[in-house]
Amino acid sequence: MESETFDLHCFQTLTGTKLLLVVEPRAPYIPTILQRIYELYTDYVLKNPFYETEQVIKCEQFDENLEALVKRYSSGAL
Amino acid sequence: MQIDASRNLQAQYNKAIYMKNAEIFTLTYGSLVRQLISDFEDLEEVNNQLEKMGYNIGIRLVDEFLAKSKTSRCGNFRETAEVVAKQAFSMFLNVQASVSNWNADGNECSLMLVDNPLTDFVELPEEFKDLKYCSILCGVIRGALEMMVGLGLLVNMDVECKIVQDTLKGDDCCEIRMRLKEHRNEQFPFNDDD
Repeated sequence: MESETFDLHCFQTLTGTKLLLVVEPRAPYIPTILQRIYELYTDYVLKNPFYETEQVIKCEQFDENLEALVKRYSSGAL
Repeated sequence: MQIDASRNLQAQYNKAIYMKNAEIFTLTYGSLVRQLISDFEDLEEVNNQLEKMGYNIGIRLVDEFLAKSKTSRCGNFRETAEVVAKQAFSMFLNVQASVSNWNADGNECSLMLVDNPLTDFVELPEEFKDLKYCSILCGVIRGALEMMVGLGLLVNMDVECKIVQDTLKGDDCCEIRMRLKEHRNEQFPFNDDD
């Protein structure tokens, strides 16, 4: 979905989980970054035994790694 | 020549370390089973608990498998069984499983495991002969497949798994029988009449 000020991308996994990504218009390499975010999700969120499915994600490690990924992406080196 | 020899040695050393890491897994599982037996005492209940634990692992594991292996949707149960046996087992347990004994309808098959890291070094005593040591694997498969929702069709795979052959009981391989109960359509939480 595209508009003037943002693009909305949705990545749906085979398990029905949807990852929604809001980016600025015409951002590149979206499929790659969605795949990377999916991998981070499976690592930090799902492997945490105290995370209940369909709850708000409050994992520190997930947040840290996600921020690092976004920083790398915006600096151009993915 | 010397570089080759030292590389060889390094590879052997790495393999030895890897085998030791794998043993921690076998030991952990073994002590888990022992604890469940002492907690529950009824072996049937222990089997159920192992299967339930496997189910909880399976529902989380499936996303990781999909993310790392980047498999696309499987068209039918046959493909699914092949993917589970070849890719999933080799990714997580580092063993190759094979699929065989399909029934006429194509909704039942057997997964044969020759090596099973869960049962390395394990000998089952006589009083525990009703224990299905690998029930956890049945639960993992059931949990993983139940989470697979096909895009657009929203079809769950309701699978029943049970251990048919077990190396701990004298058979030459571990056989898990997978039966597809039915393709259920996902229930929507709302009515169209509202």
